[in-house]
Amino acid sequence: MTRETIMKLTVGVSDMQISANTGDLIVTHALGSCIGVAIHDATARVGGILHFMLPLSQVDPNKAHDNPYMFGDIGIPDFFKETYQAGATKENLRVVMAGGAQVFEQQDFFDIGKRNIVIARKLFWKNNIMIAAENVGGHIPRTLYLEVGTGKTWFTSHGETTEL
Amino acid sequence: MIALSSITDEIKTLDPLPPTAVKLVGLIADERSSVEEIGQVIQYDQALTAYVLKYANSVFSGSKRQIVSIKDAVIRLGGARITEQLIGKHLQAKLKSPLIPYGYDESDLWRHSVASATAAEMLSSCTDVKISGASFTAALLHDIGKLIMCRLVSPEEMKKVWEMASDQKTSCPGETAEKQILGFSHPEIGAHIAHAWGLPQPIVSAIRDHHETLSEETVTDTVKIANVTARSIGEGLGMEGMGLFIDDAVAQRMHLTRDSFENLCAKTLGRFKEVLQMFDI
Repeated sequence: MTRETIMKLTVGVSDMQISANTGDLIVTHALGSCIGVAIHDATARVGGILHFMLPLSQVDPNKAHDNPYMFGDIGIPDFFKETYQAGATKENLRVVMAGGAQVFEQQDFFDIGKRNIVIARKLFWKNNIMIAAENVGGHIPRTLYLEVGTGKTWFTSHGETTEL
Repeated sequence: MIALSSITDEIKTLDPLPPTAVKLVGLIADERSSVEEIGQVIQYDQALTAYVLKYANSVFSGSKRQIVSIKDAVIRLGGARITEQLIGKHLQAKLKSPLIPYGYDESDLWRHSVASATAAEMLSSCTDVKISGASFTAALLHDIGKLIMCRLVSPEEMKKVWEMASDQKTSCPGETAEKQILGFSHPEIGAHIAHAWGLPQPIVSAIRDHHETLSEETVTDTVKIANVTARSIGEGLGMEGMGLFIDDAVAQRMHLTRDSFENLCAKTLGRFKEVLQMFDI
């Protein structure tokens, strides 16, 4: 089925969307400590966004079984596999990430944002995937966008737009 | 700068809580209260009786048999959850209004409040510390001060607050900047509201101290954790984002590990939408 009109696909918390429709705009809102990973293959013109909330699936095996996209450690690999199935290849992928905002505290007990950044970087490093651009940490909320047709990625925060 | 008299004047313009709600909050804040006492208060309120029975027999209660008595409904749902529902329904319209100075669109503050109350409710399954039923209501109301704050300050004044909070040299939580620039913070205003409505002291204190480090009350600690959990699931980020202060000692007092805190976030996200729907019964 082909779609001629531009579709806005919204990715909820602990979810992902992949599209090969060049008119689609994928967006995920409310990235606080959560991380949004946007990947795009410019040759196959396939892309997607994952919005994961927590670093490790071991904290809730039932939830991990029902929804792997809640967790970075299993959500990121599943998301990449789904994108390959939609036609993307690893060599052509451009990967960006945004989010991982942090709370003010002396140590980092409640700092899910920091742990989310660590798990994503660790997985990318282990799998020889370069992060083309990222905007992580700080305290700000972010909204991440990906244009499937062009592969353009950007985020907005407090009304300001920054390209990634 | 905000004057205390203007806060008290604005509070008078808010509808007070229904008397039944105030009585119920008093009962659930007192551990010695019995199911019978809670049931008696509900039974005097015809509309609430009908609602509680409808709620107890809805898909959300998880009951397989029909519930016909208020006592059974209270046992099934818990007095704390009934009180949270009653207060939430009363304030729903106000909390749903957009609060632009805080970066909240329509329903954002409502969703943050319900997510926080949900986290307070789910916390008991992640710790062995006893969670008071008053915590649900305190979590639901913890940011109520933002409603009045938005009526008292100009957009320019609020802009200064966020400039101070986000400036690299002065970077601080929003309520610290509020206090410095406006003279009052939203938790302080919220506590004035809760006091004026006759809510019990643990709830007033939890609203006042939900960003403070010195307080060690269990209800306050629960609200602090509930607030950070709601933000961690992406509800109520607004201008503050994740920029709130929370002391690690809270986790120690509440017997939480990192894993159990993250488990709380997962559980809260799972339950949150169901709780939102419950308010529409």
